Amino acid sequence: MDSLEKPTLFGISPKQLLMGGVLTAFALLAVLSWQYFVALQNDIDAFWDGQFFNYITLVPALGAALAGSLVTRQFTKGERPYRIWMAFSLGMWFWFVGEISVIVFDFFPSGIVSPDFQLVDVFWLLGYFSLGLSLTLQLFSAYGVQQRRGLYIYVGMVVFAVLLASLLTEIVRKGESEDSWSFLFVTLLYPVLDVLAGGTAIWLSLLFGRGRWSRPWWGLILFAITDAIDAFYWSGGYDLVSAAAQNTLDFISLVTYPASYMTAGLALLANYFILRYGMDSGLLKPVKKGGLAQRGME
Amino acid sequence: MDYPLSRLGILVTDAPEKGAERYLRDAKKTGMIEKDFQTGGYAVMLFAGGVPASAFFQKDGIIQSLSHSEFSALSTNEACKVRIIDMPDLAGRLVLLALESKRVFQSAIRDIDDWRNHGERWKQEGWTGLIEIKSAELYGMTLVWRGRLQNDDAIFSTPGGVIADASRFESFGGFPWEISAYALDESDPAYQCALLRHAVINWMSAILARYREMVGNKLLETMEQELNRQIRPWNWKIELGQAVMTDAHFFIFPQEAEVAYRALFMSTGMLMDIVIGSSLTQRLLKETFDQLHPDDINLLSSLRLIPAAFSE
Repeated sequence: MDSLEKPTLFGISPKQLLMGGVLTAFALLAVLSWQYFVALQNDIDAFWDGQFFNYITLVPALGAALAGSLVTRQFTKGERPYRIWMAFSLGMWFWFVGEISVIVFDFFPSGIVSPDFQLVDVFWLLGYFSLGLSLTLQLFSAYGVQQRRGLYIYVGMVVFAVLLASLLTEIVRKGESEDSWSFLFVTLLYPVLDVLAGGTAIWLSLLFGRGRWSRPWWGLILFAITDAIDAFYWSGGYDLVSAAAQNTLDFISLVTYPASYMTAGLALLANYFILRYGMDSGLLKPVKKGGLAQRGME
Repeated sequence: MDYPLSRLGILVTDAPEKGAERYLRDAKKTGMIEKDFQTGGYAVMLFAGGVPASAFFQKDGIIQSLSHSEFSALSTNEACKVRIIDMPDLAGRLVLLALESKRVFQSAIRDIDDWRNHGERWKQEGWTGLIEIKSAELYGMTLVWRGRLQNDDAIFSTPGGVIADASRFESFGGFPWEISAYALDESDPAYQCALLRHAVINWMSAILARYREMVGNKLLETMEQELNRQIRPWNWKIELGQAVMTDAHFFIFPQEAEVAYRALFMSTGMLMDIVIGSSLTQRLLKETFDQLHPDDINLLSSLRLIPAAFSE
C-alpha cells in the first residue's frame, strides 16, 4: 500500500464519510417525504412545492456528477474504465445542468424557446446518450468484447431507439392526437430510452451481483422506475387506478427520483475511495491474516 | 551434468564445517553442502528453504543418487573439504531439475547467431527441457518451455555476478559456449512442480490482465499489493505485479506448491468478488481458464484448481 495515499480528510475515514453521505441522503429524503405529506394535506402553492423538490434534487445531482468526475480522474486516458466513467460522469453533468435549467425556466417561462422541444430536453437526451454509452462500454468490457465493436453496437442501439420512438409517434398520431410530431416523439423517446438504459442497468447489476463496481448503475434502475411511473401517468394510466394508488405512485416517483442520484453518487464516492485509498479505504474487506494458507489447506 | 554448480551461489565462509546441515536448516536457507573428496568426486546435498531436497555423488560426469543418511555418513576426513553454498531458490530448483533429467544433446555454440538458431529450432519443435550453458566466463541453466526460453526460470553465473534472467545472459558473450540439453522426466517431482508452476503462472497472469482491463490499474494494484501482503508471512517467493505473477520459490514437492497456489487463487477470487461480484468473477476465471493450453487445463483440473473452486 506504499504508493497509495492514506485517508486524511480531517481525520475522518472514507467509511465514515460515506456513512455521513448515506445519513444525509436519508435526511433529504425524509424532508422531501414530509414536504409531500404536508403539501397533500395543506394544499401548498404547487409552484413552491415543485421548487422545493427541484432545489433538494440539485444537491444529489451535483454530488453524483462530482463523484463521477473524481472516479474518472483515477484512471489514465488509455484505460478502458476511463471511457466508461468519463461517459457516466458526463451524463451526470448533463442531467445536473438539466436540473438547473428546470429551475431557471420555472422562474422565467418566457425563456422557453419552443413549447414542443425545450432546452432541458437537450440536456436530458445528451445525458441519456452519455449514460447509454457508459452502460454499453461497461457491458462489453465485462463480456470482453472489443471496444470498437461495442461502439458499433451502441450506435445501432441509438438508431433502434430513434426508429422505435418514431414508429410509436406515428401510431399515436394516427389515433388523432392533437400534439405535434416533435412533442410526441420526444415524449415517447424517453420511455424507450428508459427501457433500454434500465434494462441494460439491470443486466449489468445481475452480472456484477453485489460487486461494488456496478453499484452506480443501481441509480439508473431507480431512474427507470421513476420514468415508468411518469409514462404510466402520461399514457392515461392514472385514470385506471384509485386516488390512493395515484398518491402512492406519486410518492414513489417523488422519492425514487432524487434517490437515484443519491444511489449513483454514493456508489461512485465509494468507488472513488476504493480507487484512491485501496485496502486502507476500509471498503474492501481484507482477508484475515493467516487465512491465505489455511484456506489453501482445507 | 557437469559440476560447476557452486558457481550458482555464494560460498558461506562463516559457517562451521561440522554444523553445515544445522546452519542451512536453522537459517531456512536454500543452498547446498558440498563434500569435495579431492579425487575428482563430489557429494552434494541440496536444501530448499532449510529442508533437505536431494543428495547425490558425482564423479567423472556420472551421477549417483544418495539418501540423506548416506550423504551424512560419507567420511569427512582431512582429505575431504566441506563447503556451504548459499543459493537463490531459482538456482536450487533448476539444479534439482537438472539432476533428475537425462542429457539428450550436446553442442558447441560458436556465436550468437548459432545460439539463436538453436532457439528457433526449439521453438518450432515446441520442445520442453533444460539447457545448461558453460563457457570460461559463463555458467548457468535455463528452462525451455513449449519451445520458449523462460526468462524467469534461468540462473547464470557471470563475471558480473549471479543473474536470474535469461534475457540478459546473452550479452555476456564469451563464445564458444558448450551447451547440453536435458529431457525432463515426467515422473520426477521437480518436473511436476515446474509443470504446475507454469500452468498456474499462465492462468494467474491471464486473470490479472483481464481484471485490469475491467477495473483499471489502480484496483489491480490494490489487489496485487493485498495478495503480496498475504503471501509474505508464508515466505513463498511468489509475487504479483503489473498483471504478472512471478514464482521464484523452490517447492520440493508439487503437493506443497499446490497448497500455496490454491490459497492464492482463493484469496484472488475473494478480493475480486468484492469488487466485481461473484458471477462476474466466476465468468472471468472460466474465460481465462478456457484459454489456457490444453495440458495446463488437464493438470489444473486434475488437482481441482478450477474456476468453480475460487468464487462463491
